[in-house]
Amino acid sequence: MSRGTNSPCDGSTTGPAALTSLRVAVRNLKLLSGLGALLVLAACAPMQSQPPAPVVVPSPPTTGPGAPPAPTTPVPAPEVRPVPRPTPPLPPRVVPPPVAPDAVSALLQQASSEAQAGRHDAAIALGERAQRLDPRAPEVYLVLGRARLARGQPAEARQLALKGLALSVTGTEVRQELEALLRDTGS
Amino acid sequence: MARRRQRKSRTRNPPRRSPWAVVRVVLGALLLPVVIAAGLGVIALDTMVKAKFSGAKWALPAHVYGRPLELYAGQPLARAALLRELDGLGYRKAAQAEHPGQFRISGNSLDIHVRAFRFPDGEQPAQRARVSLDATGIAAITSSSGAALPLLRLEPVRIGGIYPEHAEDRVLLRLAELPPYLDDALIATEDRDFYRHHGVSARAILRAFWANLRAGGIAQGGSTLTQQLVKNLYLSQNRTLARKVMEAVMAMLLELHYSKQEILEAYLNEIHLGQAGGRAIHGFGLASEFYFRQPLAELDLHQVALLVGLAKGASHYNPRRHPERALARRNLVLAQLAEEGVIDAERARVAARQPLDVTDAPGGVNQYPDYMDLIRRSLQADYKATDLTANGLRIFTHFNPQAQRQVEVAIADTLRHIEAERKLKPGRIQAAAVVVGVGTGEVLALAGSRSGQVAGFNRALDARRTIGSTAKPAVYLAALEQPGRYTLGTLVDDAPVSIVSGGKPWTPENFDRTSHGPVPLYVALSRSYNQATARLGLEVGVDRVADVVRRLGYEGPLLKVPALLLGGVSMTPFEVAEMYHTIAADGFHTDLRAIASVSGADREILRRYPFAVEQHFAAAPMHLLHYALRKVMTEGTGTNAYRQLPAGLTVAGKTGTSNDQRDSWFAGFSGNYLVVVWLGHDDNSPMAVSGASGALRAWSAIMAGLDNRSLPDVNPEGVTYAWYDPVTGAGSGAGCANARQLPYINGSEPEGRSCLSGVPGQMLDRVRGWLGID
Repeated sequence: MSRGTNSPCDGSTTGPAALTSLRVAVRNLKLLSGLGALLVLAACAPMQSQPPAPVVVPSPPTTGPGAPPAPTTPVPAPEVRPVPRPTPPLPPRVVPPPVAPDAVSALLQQASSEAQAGRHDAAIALGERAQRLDPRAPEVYLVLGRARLARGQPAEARQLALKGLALSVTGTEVRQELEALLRDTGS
Repeated sequence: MARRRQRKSRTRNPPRRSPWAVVRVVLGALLLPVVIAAGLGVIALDTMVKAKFSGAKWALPAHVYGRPLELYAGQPLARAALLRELDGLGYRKAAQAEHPGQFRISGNSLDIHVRAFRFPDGEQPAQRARVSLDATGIAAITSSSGAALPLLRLEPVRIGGIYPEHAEDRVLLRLAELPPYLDDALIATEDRDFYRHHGVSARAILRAFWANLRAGGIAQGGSTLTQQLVKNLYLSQNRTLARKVMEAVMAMLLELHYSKQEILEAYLNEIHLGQAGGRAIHGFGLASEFYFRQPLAELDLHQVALLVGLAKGASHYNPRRHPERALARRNLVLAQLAEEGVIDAERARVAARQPLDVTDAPGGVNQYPDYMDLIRRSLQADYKATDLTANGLRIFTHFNPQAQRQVEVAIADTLRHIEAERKLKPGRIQAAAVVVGVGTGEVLALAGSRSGQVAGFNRALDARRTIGSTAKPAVYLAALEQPGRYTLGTLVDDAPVSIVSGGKPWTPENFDRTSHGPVPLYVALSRSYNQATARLGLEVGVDRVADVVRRLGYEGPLLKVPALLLGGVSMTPFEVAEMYHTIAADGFHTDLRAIASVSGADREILRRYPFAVEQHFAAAPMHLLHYALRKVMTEGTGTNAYRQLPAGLTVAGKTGTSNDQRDSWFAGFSGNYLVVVWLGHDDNSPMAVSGASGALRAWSAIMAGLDNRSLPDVNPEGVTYAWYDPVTGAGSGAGCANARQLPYINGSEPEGRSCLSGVPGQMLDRVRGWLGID
């Protein structure tokens, strides 16, 4: 997964790196979803006689009344990473599409400027508005954690960093920044 | 007074012994106490008038607000839901959304003129925006200048206030905030001489007397606005002569101390304009919310006239109960306004043709007593009662009116159906439910009874009931935290268990009274086998399981006995919600919060309740537990949920039934909502409804109406999916009969086995080839 190292290079983004990486992620998602769809089709085609094989998506409801005909949401992009043999590389890790990326990044950008101006409570309030829209966005916890650290609450900041790390993907910029935050909390 | 004093002094003159003098002495002796009493009385009244008027004149209840709805492009918000939100906020459909509080529908878009609102993070000015909708929700939001808006925040609905014991409520109003005509209409109708009299008006009394004589009954009162204010502020509604005299004296005293403007402002805030159950609606500010769900400043002439008309008798002219009377009264007010020359006759005629425009459901009153109860309790730790009931605090909460409505409707419908199908006595089964935002830990809705509108025993917070199988995830989590010993595929024997616990035999049985032999862990949980769970739990150890229950967030009493393994512990639905939220949030514990922040009447934020988390479980075992709880919904005891939920929605959850079916539980979550439902009898008698047939059904009905997102398909680092054969409990190969993939904590996965059929293997090689992996 190398999207974190892709350069956005459009010159218009002045926000923090995490937001930039979020935006890049969204853009790349569209590209990657094409590959994801291809994978699903190719992988499932020869196994039609079997129950829906969870090759890419780890655990869709496979039997019972809950069995979906097909996922209606866009197929998320798989993260491809080598898995030690003999375990088959199944299923790859899948990142869900971000919810409301524009609204979330607008709020987080505002939060960052509040934080830069030293208004950390305001930054937290804005970060929480973003969290309400997408509680799985790791960037949210980066912003909340940094604000807590700046307020002199390293223990809270540390837990927020852990939460963000649990939701982020290896190799992304936000991941690195969360790791840095975790270090800054003194552990 | 002067004359009395003169007389008094005369009685003290040296007596001249004439018969007149005797009469005078006797009279004087009789009058003296009366005079002194009257004098003292006036002084007492004066003190009372001043104390009440200038002191805590208007004890301002704390105003409680729900969450503001944030709109954004791409939001899967149904048009109906958006319209419901606007309706709840009292927005009116208008040809042009010219004024705040109005909206216009044109084709697939809504022009909303959002009201200004003082948010804790600052004043948000009124703004006009266009929300374009398509089949999936909001397609775009643009400002009036056509620029795309990333977000549009509506103001939160005021869900109630926190009142002192005498249960008054008001929305404080300043003269500067009045809508046009309100004070004119009031003076024209109630007290034409208001600016001329000194508290009492002889002309008004005469005019009323004359009018009443002509009408042959009481048609008009002769009370001035000042007298009416006195009556509202200080006196009961008794119509005795003594009361009338006191009222007149106090009115004069009030006029002596305060200006006409102060008295008018007091009147506008004090006058009784309606009744909501046990709570009095005081003042025009709250009355506007109560009858129209609109802020007073937005009211049109015909609405203002209706409120003014109510001053004469809020219950007699109650527009919801007696619309004809109210209409006649309103039109009389309009006619008087025209007569006084405040408006022209044509304007009055147009206004008189308007409907009453009163909303069906009252606004601004505590419609959500159970959630308000939670707010009150959360605040008690930080605030004194007088802070809450007198200082006009503004309390911002996470309450979601749409989720609450969904909970109330779903519970009422489900219980009605269950009672009808099973021919049960209606109304006996009770219910409680909690809705929490997954990840944020915010309490969005709460029901403490089957009818959410009635205040009473709040079962969501106070009913401690046996949680039954709802406790089982703790047993499996305790096992899965030891990947060296247990995986989801580990076979556990579902054979009868019998041990001695506390000197008594403990012999749990399965719900279907049969044993199922060796079953994989995830099957034992998804099908809620008691024998297998008891055996597993005893193996893992009760202490370890109790520790997991604590780490999930439960702080109440807990006995470390084997019965705990099968849910022999009593919890409130709120406590169960907190535990399940830790599961839903991937092992991160958060205190469930209802309040976002508290602001003072003078704007500044007094207290925040920020989001905080603590990781209590590693991501990997929690992911394995999620897998099993998803299987509950697709293969286990929760499959009936999909009678109501869309097939493509991935959810996870667990049923719970206590002994003899005294309690029926379901706790489950989607990607964004966690809902816990409890059903049972208040007297704890059996009710013949299991978790799967009762609470699950209500849970599904609630979920079906929420804007759910599927649980994400993300496996955390440290987890590997591997092929597994549930029959043998051993590893398997892709394409083998019965083979399925299970998540394993790295290093605990079984040895893969080659499969007879070679096709899937080749397939795998091809996939590897594409991915550049050998």
